[in-house]
Amino acid sequence: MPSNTGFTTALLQALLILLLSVGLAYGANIFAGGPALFAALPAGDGIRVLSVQEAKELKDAGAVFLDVRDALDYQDSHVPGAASLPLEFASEQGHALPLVVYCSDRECNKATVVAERIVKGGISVAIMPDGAGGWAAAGGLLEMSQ
Amino acid sequence: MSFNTFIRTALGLVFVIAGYVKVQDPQAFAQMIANYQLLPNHLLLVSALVLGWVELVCGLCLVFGILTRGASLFVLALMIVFLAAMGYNLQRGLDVACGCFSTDPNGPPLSPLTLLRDGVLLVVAVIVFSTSGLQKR
Repeated sequence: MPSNTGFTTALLQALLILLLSVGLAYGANIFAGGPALFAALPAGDGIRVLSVQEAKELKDAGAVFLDVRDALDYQDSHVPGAASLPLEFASEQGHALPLVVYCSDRECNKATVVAERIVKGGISVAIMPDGAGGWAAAGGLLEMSQ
Repeated sequence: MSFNTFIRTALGLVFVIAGYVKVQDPQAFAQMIANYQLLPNHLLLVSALVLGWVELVCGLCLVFGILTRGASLFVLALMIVFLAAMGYNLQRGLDVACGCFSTDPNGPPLSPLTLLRDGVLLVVAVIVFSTSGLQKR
């Protein structure tokens, strides 16, 4: 059975390691000219993050929506007019229309992955993290494919 | 070299490699943490920065036999947290890369094998912790 003293020593040493690591992380970040420690992580260069309402307004303005879910999910329901572009078929090619990429909901990261690929092609793109679920929850229509 | 020294050094080297990769590109590692969808956005970068250095410092301590009680306790706690995070995301079907030894978001996704590997590391960490000083009075 470990002694209390031994465990206390371990905790104190762990605390020392933590303090040393925090100091090194802080120093390295300053040295490297990194962002503020508590800065929010950007979605990626050139990627705008939209609320469902903003996405709706952009849709009314003619934005092209790309549904990056699997084809079966797309056939089940999707934002009206949205094109199906499952992750595995996403390419870096595109056109200069506003693009809004969405997936199922905030638990799905595929929209960000596809958006980052699109941005690499020099195309302005936005993601709607609330996805198809958020769209429907906000009263938006979802349509089924034939 | 005794068995205890061998596994302590081996565990240390694993963490030195894992930490070094993360320290090289903390922003890429922050994105890996973001993909797990467990932390708020403003804690991602600081977590990535500190976690990389914690792994590196713990690894170096274990390799060189310095502060081994604290380092092994820290590693043990980290493995429990990592296993919990990976297990939770596997359970909810989130398709994310492990981010364990690479900051490539297109790396191999989480799998039961990833859990098994980290489970083995947890067992090793428990052995190192229990043999690295608690018996010494």
